[in-house]
Amino acid sequence: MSRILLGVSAVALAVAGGLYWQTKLLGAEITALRVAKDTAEASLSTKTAELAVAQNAARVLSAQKAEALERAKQAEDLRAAIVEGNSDALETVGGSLGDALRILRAATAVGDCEGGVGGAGGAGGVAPAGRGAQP
Amino acid sequence: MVPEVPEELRQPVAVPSREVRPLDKGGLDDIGLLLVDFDEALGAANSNIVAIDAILIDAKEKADASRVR
Repeated sequence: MSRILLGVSAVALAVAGGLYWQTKLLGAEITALRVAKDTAEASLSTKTAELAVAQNAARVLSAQKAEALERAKQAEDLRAAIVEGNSDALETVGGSLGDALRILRAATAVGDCEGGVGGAGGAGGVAPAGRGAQP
Repeated sequence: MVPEVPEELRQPVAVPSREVRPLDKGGLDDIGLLLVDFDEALGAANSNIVAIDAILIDAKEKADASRVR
């Protein structure tokens, strides 16, 4: 009888031990999974932030490109106005560039007047008038 | 987190070379063209700098926000 009890106890102990280790292993696995989940979440958060930054960079670049195209067009129009001697177009240019161009235009007009007949070009001071008065 | 600055914004802005004729023959128009070239190039360079600054500020704000969380 006692041998049977001993055997049953041994089996029960073995089962209990097995369960204990199984639980311990499961606990370790759960901890590892939790750590992996936290790491994945942190990584996802970083990736999301990086994506937002990249999206902002693309948006900024797109705006900057549109601005650059507009600026290039304005510069091209201005060059054409200078080559054609279109004083009216130069009058609308703002800032120090506009001032410099108008001073240049005035200087050209003075030069033309000096080189020409004289008096006639003096009136407006703009290049076409001065040129028109030359012989 | 490393901010992404598009390669285009990191390129130097070139000022086109332009032949300038003597003033007594070509008038001052060429000077005007040069002024326009330089103004355009300076505007483009400043525009790139402003764009890069906007990207870096955005990246810094997002990095700070994620650090707080």
